Amino acid sequence: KLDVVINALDNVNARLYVDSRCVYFGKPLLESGTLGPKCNTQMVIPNMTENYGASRDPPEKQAPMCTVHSFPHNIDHCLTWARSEFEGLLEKAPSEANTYLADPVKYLAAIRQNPDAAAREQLEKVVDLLVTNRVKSFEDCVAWARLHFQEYFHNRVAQLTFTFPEDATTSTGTPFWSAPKRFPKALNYDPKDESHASFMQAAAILKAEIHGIPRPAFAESAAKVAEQAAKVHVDPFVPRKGVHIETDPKAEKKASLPVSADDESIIEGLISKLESTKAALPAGYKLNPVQFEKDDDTNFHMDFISGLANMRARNYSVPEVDKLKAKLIAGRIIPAIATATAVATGMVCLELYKVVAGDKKIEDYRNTFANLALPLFAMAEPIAPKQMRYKELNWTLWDRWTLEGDLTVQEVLDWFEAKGLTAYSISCGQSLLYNNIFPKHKERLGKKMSELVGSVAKIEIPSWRAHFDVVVACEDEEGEDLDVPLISIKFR
Amino acid sequence: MEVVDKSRRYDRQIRIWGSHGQRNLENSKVALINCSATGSEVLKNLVLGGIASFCIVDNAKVTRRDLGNNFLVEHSHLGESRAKVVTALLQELNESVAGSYVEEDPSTLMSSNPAFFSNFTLVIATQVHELETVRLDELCRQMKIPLLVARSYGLVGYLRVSVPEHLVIESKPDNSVDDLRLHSPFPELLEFVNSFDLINMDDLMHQHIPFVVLLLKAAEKWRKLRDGVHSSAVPSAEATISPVCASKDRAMLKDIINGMRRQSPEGLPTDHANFDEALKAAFHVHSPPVAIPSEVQSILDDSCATQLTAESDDFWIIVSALKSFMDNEGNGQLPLQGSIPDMHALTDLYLSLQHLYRDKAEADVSHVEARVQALLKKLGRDSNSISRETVRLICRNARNLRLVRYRTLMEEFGGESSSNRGCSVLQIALHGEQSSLHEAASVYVLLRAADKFFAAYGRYPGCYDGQIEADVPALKSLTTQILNEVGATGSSVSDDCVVEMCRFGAAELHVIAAVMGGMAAQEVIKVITKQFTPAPGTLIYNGIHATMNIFYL
Repeated sequence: KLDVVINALDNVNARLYVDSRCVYFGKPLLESGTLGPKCNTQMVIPNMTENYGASRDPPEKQAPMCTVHSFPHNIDHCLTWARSEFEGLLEKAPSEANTYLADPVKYLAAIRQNPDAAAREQLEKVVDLLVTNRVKSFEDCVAWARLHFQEYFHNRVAQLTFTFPEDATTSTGTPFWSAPKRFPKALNYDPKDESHASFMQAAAILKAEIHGIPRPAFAESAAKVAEQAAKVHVDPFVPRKGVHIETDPKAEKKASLPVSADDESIIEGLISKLESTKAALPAGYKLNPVQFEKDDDTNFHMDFISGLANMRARNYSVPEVDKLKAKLIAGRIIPAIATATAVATGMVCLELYKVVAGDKKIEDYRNTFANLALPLFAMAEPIAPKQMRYKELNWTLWDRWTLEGDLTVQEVLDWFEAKGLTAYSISCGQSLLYNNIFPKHKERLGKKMSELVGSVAKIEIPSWRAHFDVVVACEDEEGEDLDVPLISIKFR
Repeated sequence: MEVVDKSRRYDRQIRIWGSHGQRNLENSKVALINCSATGSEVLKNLVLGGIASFCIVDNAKVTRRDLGNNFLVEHSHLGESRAKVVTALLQELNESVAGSYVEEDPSTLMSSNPAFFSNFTLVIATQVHELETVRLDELCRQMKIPLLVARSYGLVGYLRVSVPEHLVIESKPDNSVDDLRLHSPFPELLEFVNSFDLINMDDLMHQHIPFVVLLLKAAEKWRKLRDGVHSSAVPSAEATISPVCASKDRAMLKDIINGMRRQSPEGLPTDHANFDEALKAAFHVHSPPVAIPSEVQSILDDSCATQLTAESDDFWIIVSALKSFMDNEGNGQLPLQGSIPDMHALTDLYLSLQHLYRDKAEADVSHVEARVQALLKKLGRDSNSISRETVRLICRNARNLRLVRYRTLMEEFGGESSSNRGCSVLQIALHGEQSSLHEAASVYVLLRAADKFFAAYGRYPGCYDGQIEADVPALKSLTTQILNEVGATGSSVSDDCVVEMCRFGAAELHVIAAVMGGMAAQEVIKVITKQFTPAPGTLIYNGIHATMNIFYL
């Protein structure tokens, strides 16, 4: 029902979605975006220009997991790590504990049903929060903060350098610690160090928040929290042997660990721990998971994250950043200014007149790229859509092939056959209606497409609609896949 | 609390110009002449950016015309003071910006109370006739206040900054080359390089030598081979290489680097990343970036730097100190930038190299600072009146210093003689082959013809329906007159353009106002923050063909 769509979106996925809908309905889309002093506008006009999705910027680079976990070499890596620790420690683990607290019987039954390593890890977190390391006072929270500091910035690093000493070599004989990997140094807690103190304060306060422990007056002073933390007993570090540390940059996430007999017995042990201390928990005990909010400067979230990231940066001799810069990276904030937005708006509206006036040619439209900082303005005609050709057929992404009649699957395949194409798969929405690799689908060949849409895709076609759309995958005579338009079947 | 609040509100723009840039904005007081669509758009962008205050000078009442192109007036405002209602709505956008207005004719105000303008950091004139802008420009220059002129006219726009001299320390170029001094290494760097014995080190070390060391070793061999000089084993710090370098010389350097690679047990050359990096950076040695970019050289040679007085701007004193630094300790080089890119190297080697560059950069800052202090003393000023911070900022950005000088609007519009710089720029554009440039120059000439039309008839061409065609011949003859004035006799502006200009009827379209307002506000921010380089001339936007051109008028 729309005449034109104007995007003012803040992310690529939403843009791609709107783009795909506009292509589907054949609607003009006026697309624009800004990045700092730069702005661009792109006109997507049906049957005339290419669509937004046709040319894409490369996706954002993400560091491999092993780099983030053990071998950071810039502050982005440290911040990505800090952000994920924040989530795991302050949001996910307490939420998990709450799920248990809400209905212990159901929770434990679910764990017992699938007693793998992942379940064990989850349960360990719950036990840690509610039993082993349950905090009862603010002093406990300070101790928790201090021990985490030790674990994060001393023990883990010491373990890493124990497993891979400075002179370690890889299987090919090259030094393990070569660029971009940096050899880390363990940190020793120093209550006089401002960064250490501010981390202690943020960590203790957030921990207290999770457990609903009131914040005492001394918590307002980072120095006082730091002094308190200095009194906490810390066990000396003893390195462990045979620790696995992921070093393969291609390992994206933790591979799912296989179920071992061990897990099951450990899980039972953990469950009995939980059961035995259940009575000790106050009635209606519940944790308050912390949701990351970068923009509230009084909530200690960014203090915690920048503290974590900067301490880690120190471990690896990476230059540290201030809270503002940390927020930019952790919050993925895109710089934006009113001026670039105003220019983009003007440029888009000027093109809107052309769309509304109608009867325009591609050379009448303009896409813009501008950088107000230089200033530079580059304006160009939009790009025409890619012309697809096969034998006597010509089409672009804007086309749709319409088939008339209440056809059977076989008839659709035949229609393609007649054009010299082999259709091997037909789908509707998320459902596969036909694929020649499944022997069972042979039975469907004689069935009406309209029937399969109802019985397989479970889509009810409203009485006022005379057609439905399917996606057909096909090959040409050389067996090469060919992108063909959407198939619209006018069945009544 | 206020401070925290502000850093959050302006967070996304502080990313671009930093908190020092934001501070400059928050201390700036801006005057706007005329708050029709263009002026309102400019100010809207600045109010969102967080200037300290604005003051609108406009004696117009809100008319139906305003309702069609200005978001900052409402239907209920018809007949009210435009300055008053725009001020009120602008303040809604940002309560930390103070707004005021003067309901007076700008031209009258210039005569009756010229001192009024001295209250501002910057003055913006929108939709002002050229004769009035010339007067305003004179006034602003007397008071040393930058002026920005912006105009939307139909589907075209005009934009111009006017300030005698604008200095940019942080020009923030999009692409900059690392300052590694590979073509003329400083002694500490050479000493570091010479501490490595590539022949006798083990394979592991060999694969993790920073490329800077490899390249400098190769450069030493290369220089000897190329120049056939056998004497000194150590290249001297002064040794620089001519920027022109034959391709066979370039190939020779690459061969030397590759020749330094070790062989694998199978007898093949190894492909370690540090050597690849050395190859990639080889241009630093054979085609080094010019030691002093021409823009910077002209700043160094500027009479403001060579003839200091007690009243000289701090910037010029530092520039003068830079110059004497270069003539002495600097060995003809600008101060070192001091940062190095990431590279394949053992961590401790990388860190030593990083310290080496940083220490050298700091030493350069100290030298310049000492010279600044000496100069201040000589000028009879407090020798500590310029902070090390400021000196360091200029040293770090030495390669990117920029200076823009704008001619007065009188000089732009005067056009008495054809030897005039602006005239020749227009002549070239109008006689030239490039159609977009010709169009832009035509637009410029037509804008001035329209002002002449106004001066003659008291109205703009085509502003009454039914008179469009009647106005065409008059505008055409005025156009010819301007072409003669700028010495472009014989060249012409197409009839289509003249007709189109009449058809505009001096209408102010919101879309054009939005584009001009965005650009104008950005130029204002550049001038106020002293970051990024403002457009160095007169900018003409043509919305019909979607082109933008800058003329140095």
